[in-house]
Amino acid sequence: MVEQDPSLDSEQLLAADLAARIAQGDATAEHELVVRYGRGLRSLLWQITKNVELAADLYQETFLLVLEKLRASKIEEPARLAGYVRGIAKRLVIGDTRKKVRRATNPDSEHIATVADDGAGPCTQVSNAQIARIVRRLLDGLPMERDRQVLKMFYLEEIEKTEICKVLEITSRHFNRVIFRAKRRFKELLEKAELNKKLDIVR
Amino acid sequence: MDSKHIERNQVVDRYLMGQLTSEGVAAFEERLLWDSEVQEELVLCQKLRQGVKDAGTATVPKADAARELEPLVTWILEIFRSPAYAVAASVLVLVLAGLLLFPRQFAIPPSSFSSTQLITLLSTRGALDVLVEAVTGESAHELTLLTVDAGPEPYDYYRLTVYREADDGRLTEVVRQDGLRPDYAGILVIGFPGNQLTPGKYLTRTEGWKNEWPADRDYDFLTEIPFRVIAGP
Repeated sequence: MVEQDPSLDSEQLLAADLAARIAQGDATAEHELVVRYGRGLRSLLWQITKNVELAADLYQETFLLVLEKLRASKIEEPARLAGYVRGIAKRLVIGDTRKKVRRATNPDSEHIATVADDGAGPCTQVSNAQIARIVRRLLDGLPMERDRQVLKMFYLEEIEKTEICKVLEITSRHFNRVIFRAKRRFKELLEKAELNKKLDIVR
Repeated sequence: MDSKHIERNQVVDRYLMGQLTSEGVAAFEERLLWDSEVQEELVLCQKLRQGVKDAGTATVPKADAARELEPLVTWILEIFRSPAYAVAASVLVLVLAGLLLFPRQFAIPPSSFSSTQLITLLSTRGALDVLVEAVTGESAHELTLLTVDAGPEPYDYYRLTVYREADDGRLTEVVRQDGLRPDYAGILVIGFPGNQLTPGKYLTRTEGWKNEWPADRDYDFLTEIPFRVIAGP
């Protein structure tokens, strides 16, 4: 167990502990590493590459590189493990390893391939058309036209918050409230639609 | 970058829009790697953004058969929108529904109506920013029918409430009807004397109820649709 440094937050402490255990040859810690950062890494790589296959390849390669370094205790700041994983992933994307020397797609760590993408969370079974209908319903349900304008300007026209507040003459607090409530309502409607979809499938 | 900061400053949305600084991007992406709430928020925001863009373009794919029928449907809807045809036989079903569901709060016997005005409020099937205008009824003997789209999600019963909106935003209830069920086309209808709607701004609120719920649970809020009433010629 790593001696606790009071200046580190809980994530950094956990990261430092994982790094230390992997350096000592703890296979369970390697599995924990992949579980802890796997989903987020998939999200990040998809967000950057917008390519499912490339993201999957880079996911494997990122963990291979990270595990190599951790096993050899070659990470300078183990508490900043998340930053290190991110850095490796970004470098791989920039380097476009698909065109360079590829590592074997058989990972040398049994843990990388076995941690599946559970795809948990809302929106996995609802179509884009249904989401559009949900959003229309969300917008229809807003009592004030100004609140609809906030959402359209922010999400459709991608105008910055300060500009929206200035144009519509609303406070920052009101803006935050509109966005927060819209997301909450959207999530409720999405989860209901998701549930109905699952029930349809079961039937 | 803590979770409160992320929520208060719409960090996830701004990340997706490319509005964060490079330091902000780095901090956010590091957090994304291990924080499941941020991961879920990212997915939610992606869907919301895409949904607003798709809803904003307002092009819903239609089946070929529906496309062929579209001119006919448009023609029929135009008939309903035209006040000249509002009392035609094709509106008879709505009139009967409005009479049968006439709120008890009004003392006028429904059988005494001499004419009908139809106010059609479309929500999920109509354009977002169209503000419906209706003409104030001249007398209590003019029946006003308000029709609202019940929406895509099925409930057992609906409640329709019409509010008048004052200049300061305060809402005053004009009429409320519980226990409504939509017709075959998914339309809710409520009828009341025409002179109840004096010129001004109004809001209809639609709420839904399911039979399996406990009695102390409230209706589900569905939509609020504004409309305006203007003085007649």
